[in-house]
Amino acid sequence: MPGWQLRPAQKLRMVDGETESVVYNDCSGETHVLSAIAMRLLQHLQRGRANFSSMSTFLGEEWEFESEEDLRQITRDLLAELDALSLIEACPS
Amino acid sequence: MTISELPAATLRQRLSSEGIYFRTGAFTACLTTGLERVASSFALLYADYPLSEGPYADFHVEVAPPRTLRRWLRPQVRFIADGTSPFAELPHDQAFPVFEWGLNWCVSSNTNCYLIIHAAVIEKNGHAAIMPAPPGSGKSTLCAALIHNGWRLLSDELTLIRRSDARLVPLPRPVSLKNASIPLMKAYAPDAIFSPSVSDTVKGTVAHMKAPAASVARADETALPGWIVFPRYEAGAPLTLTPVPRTRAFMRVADNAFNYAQLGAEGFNALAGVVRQSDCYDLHYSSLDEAVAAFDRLASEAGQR
Repeated sequence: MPGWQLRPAQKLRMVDGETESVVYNDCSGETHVLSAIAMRLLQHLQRGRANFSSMSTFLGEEWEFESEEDLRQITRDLLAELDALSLIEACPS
Repeated sequence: MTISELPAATLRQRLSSEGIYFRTGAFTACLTTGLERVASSFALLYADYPLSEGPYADFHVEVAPPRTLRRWLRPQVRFIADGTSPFAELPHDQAFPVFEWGLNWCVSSNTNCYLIIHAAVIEKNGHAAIMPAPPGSGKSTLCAALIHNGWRLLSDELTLIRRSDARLVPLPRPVSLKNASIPLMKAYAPDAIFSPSVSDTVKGTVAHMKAPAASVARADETALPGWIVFPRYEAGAPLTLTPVPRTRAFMRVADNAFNYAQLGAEGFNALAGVVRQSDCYDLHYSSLDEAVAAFDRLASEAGQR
């Protein structure tokens, strides 16, 4: 199963707020406002590459979800969002 | 030596020949002009600025009539910065505003050692308030009222954030007032000095208010960021000061920056340094006195940080 990692140049410069963070994208030069859960996922990947299952488990430990399917769907959506912003990329697990 | 110490005839002779070199905050500018309406307003509003020795200047600027027949048919002026004319020619009665706008353009277009925000910035008790706001929000009027009530002017238009340490670098220049704010401020600050009003500019009627001498004298003193305040004038509105999340303030300030995108990660770091040290608010006001009192309350709490 493929995994995910931060794009190599990303340094995750950020300004944290209560419910969201501002993060600088070293690859695109753009600045994004990200939800707290998206930011936690990025910070999780900052420790190293991870596969879908481990990221889903990580989010499930920190946030409450209605169901396992919700957790998986939100994890998929977050990864797609971060990938679309060029903050992360797929990699061999 | 300051500009006011030059005899009037000497000032005009130098303006129309080698130019007057003067310091305005971190920059040295050289102004050359043979136009009396520029010379008289410059003498009035820049009296307290220190003279500088040539020939080095960050910006060599000239306000002059065009070299075409139009100078006789419909008198115009053009602004020349380091040999180029960045703007279209404008009617000659706008010559002094053209100088002011042009000098702002020189700083905002050619200076990347600072992150530059389109915002007023004033300081009291060691902390500065940054006021980014679109035209019509009452930013300059409020800035003028604050400096009339003891706040130090760092700038009415351009907030300079030093990239190395996120401190705010003064650029005290005359405060640009427009339309109804001109008579309002003349009544509010009867001792202040104003340039003659000029009507029918792209901004309507404009006049410039002299920067306080104390602010000009302290132009080398940087300031710590303390607050980011987004002002909005609303006739009849009660004063409200509503906290803004730092993340949202960050994005709104970045939207008002001249060179945030150009500076890349360094721009982010500089702005992050300011935002982390600042309490951020939306300010809605209709009374200048109430707004000044709100700022004074913020300043009085600064020592408790």
